[in-house]
Amino acid sequence: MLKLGWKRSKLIWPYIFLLPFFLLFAVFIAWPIAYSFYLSLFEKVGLGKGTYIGFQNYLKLLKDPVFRISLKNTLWYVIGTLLFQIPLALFLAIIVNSPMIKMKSFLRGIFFLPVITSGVAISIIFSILLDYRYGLLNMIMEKIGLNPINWLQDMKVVMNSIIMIGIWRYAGQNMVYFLAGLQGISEELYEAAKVDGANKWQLFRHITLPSLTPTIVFVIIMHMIGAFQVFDVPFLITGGGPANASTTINIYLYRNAFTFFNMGYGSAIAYALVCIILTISIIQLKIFGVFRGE
Amino acid sequence: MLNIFKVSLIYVGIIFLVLVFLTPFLWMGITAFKPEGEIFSKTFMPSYFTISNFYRLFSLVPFFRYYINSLIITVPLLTMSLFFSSMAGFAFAGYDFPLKSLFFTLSLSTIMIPFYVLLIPRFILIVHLKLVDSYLALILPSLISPMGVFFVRQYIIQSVPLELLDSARIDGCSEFKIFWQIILPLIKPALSALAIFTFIGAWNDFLWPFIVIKTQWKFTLPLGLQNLYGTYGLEYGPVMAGTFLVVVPIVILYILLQREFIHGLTLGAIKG
Repeated sequence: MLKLGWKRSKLIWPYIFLLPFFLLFAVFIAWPIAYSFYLSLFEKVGLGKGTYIGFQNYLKLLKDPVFRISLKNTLWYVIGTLLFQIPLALFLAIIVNSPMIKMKSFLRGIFFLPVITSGVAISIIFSILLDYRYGLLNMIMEKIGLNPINWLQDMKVVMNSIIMIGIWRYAGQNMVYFLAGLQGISEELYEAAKVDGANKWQLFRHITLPSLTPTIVFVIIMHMIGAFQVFDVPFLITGGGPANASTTINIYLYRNAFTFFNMGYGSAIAYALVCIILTISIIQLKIFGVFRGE
Repeated sequence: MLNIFKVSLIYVGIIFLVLVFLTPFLWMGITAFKPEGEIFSKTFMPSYFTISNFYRLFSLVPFFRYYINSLIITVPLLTMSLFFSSMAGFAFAGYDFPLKSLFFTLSLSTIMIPFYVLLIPRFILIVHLKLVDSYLALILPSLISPMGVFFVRQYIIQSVPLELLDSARIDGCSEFKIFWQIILPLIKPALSALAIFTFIGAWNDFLWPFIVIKTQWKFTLPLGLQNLYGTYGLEYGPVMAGTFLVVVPIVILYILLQREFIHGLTLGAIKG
């Protein structure tokens, strides 16, 4: 009797708790997602009323040479950072997790520092560090007898410099995920293998790697979702140049929407990005299929 | 013999990595305190350290004001967002009600959506609300975080015994009182991790303020720093001094709250 009366009068409470969240959610998340798609169907410049053009913006996108370049640059960034950063992050995690290493939390802090540093600060530091004439990196290269490289203004090099910064910036983040994964592996597995005479490499190959597979898949997916959205570092350091050599999808989106005020076309670019990210995430989940039951 | 060789090789490797990660910061710090005449000299260490770059910085831009602006935005954003996230997270974890799974799926499914999709509609909205160039434009859209709701819900399900709430109810506790006096204290660890995560995001945010804030007096730190570099980019000394002042508070905070940081940034995993 008590319980029944309680239920009826309290049924309203969960809705009250949800109300502020969902009001703002509707206005600042749900509506924008829908409206962005709606906008992408319009030829719309500035804030005025645009004309409905169906999927024309998307067709235009397929033929747009700058969009193609930005897509190529972004893919190059995603793959480049992936290939170098994931092994590096795993290596850092193993170092920081190793019982033989001293000053672990200090090391962890060092590797983690770029993750929590403002993208603007990072961009400024690196644009000075990589400066052709006065930059520290070229200074060091000259000292050891190498030719200086025009890191930020050479069309062939600039995207690689951006990738280098990306690796440096986010390795620590993935290190933290790997660290959590490593700490989840049972000591007993290693002990048992050691009794059987396994060496360090065999331990890594047959125990660490297989146990880490779910973490690795997770890190790869999260990394790709993040990397496809690369924006602030290339935007602030090169503005996408020289000659679009470091223009990424999001830089092109920004330029269309907030420099040319072409909101319709900008929205189409945004939706293209959503499609790419969703497709790749789904493919990866299908291929690996490791999240079942987790 | 071989072992000593191996160990020293590992240490050399680690020192190399530490240098790679630390050098950009060290170089920024050193340049910030370099005398003006030595900025472009090709030496790492200056002949003496000076704070003249900081004087120059404060004479060029209202840098202190940027700090205040960042605080004006971050503090309400942080408290409100934690409050909303914990209320909604509690609703999902502690109750059964019609349409619960619909609401939950709706909010969870937006976590994977890239932020850049929201940019244009949000900007149009802010223009129509006549909020361009206001602090409110920076605070309002960031008040909620589906990730935060999800995180609080998981934490409550995993570590709060809900029978506890029933006995409180029998004692005549109101539902809001249960939330305020029982749930909130119990989920403190989750909230501190969430607070760090939210704080870092808000403190470092660049693009959204860059789009909606126009007046220099209202610039947040990243915006002010970008403006400083854009305007006085060739004056490496004051620029590095400004960068130093943006990076250092976060470093201090990290040293004080390491565990929460690592935990909080692991959340970011799911946000991407």
